[in-house]
Amino acid sequence: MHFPRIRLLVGEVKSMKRNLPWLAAISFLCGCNAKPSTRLEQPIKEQTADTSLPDIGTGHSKSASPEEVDATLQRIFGRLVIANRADHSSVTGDFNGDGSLDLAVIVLSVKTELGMINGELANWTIQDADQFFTPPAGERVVFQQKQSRPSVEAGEPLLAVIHGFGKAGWRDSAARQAYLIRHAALGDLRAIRATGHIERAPPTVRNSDVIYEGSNHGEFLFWNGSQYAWNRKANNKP
Amino acid sequence: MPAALGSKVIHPYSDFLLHNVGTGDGIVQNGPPDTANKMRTAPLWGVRTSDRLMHDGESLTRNEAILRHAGEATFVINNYRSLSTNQKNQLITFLNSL
Repeated sequence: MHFPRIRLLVGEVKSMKRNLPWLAAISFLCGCNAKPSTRLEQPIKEQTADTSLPDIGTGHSKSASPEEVDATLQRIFGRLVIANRADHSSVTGDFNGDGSLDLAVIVLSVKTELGMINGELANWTIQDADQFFTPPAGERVVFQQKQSRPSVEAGEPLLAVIHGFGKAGWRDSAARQAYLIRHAALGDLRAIRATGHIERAPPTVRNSDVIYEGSNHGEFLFWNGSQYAWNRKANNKP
Repeated sequence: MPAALGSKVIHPYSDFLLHNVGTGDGIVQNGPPDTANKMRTAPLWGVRTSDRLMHDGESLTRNEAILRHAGEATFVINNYRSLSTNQKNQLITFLNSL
């Protein structure tokens, strides 16, 4: 006798399950709170200054095998990009200074998938390393209004950077924050600790790794807190 | 408190808490040193009027701003990544209504 009611409930639960990820995303992004009056900020525990970073990639190799690189690219970009197989086309390091190991790899965009790669709601951010201007030290400058969102061109080599998450870094399946960077795929990638290289950057960036490429001696790619940019040698030190 | 201002229910769409969402700039937030890389959630109320987003104004689109969140926000942002284009558009339309 109660069968129809039970079927109705099952239908409602299925409907709720379908909508759960969407609702979760909205509630976080919007800071929705069912009981705003009862949610209080927890007191912050006192502690001594500790500017050191946690160990990077505990229990994991710093180098990336081609299979791991392919699997990671597949997880994030699907079949939209192809990894460059040349030597030193990938490098790992803590590029954004968050204590997790990140991956940088040179990729080629698949010509037939440009629409998906450049999509406005794509799950990655396209940046142009040449768009960011690093002001010369000791000089006052006026920043130009940021240019429009860059687009990838057919067959263009790009530097794909995947930011790591937790101790497993870029190998963690939750590590899906990714950037496709134009004008930053010169090859022969090397990661070097930024200490001493960047003088006027915030502490998180100062404790990160920077990427040297090819024969571009003295110039390196670094995370400035919001995007990857070239640091020109002439601009780095007064 | 004037009656016109007091005892009103508002919906600022913020928890007003400090979170490490991977965008910290190393500046201590009126607290101990471990707040240096945390940001206080800005209210989304009125976000429709902003064309430059996040604390540094470096994000030009809603999608770009959402994807910049990492750290504590990783899992919920991965939920966003799993949405269809239509669902993402619905969410962004909602944000543009605030």
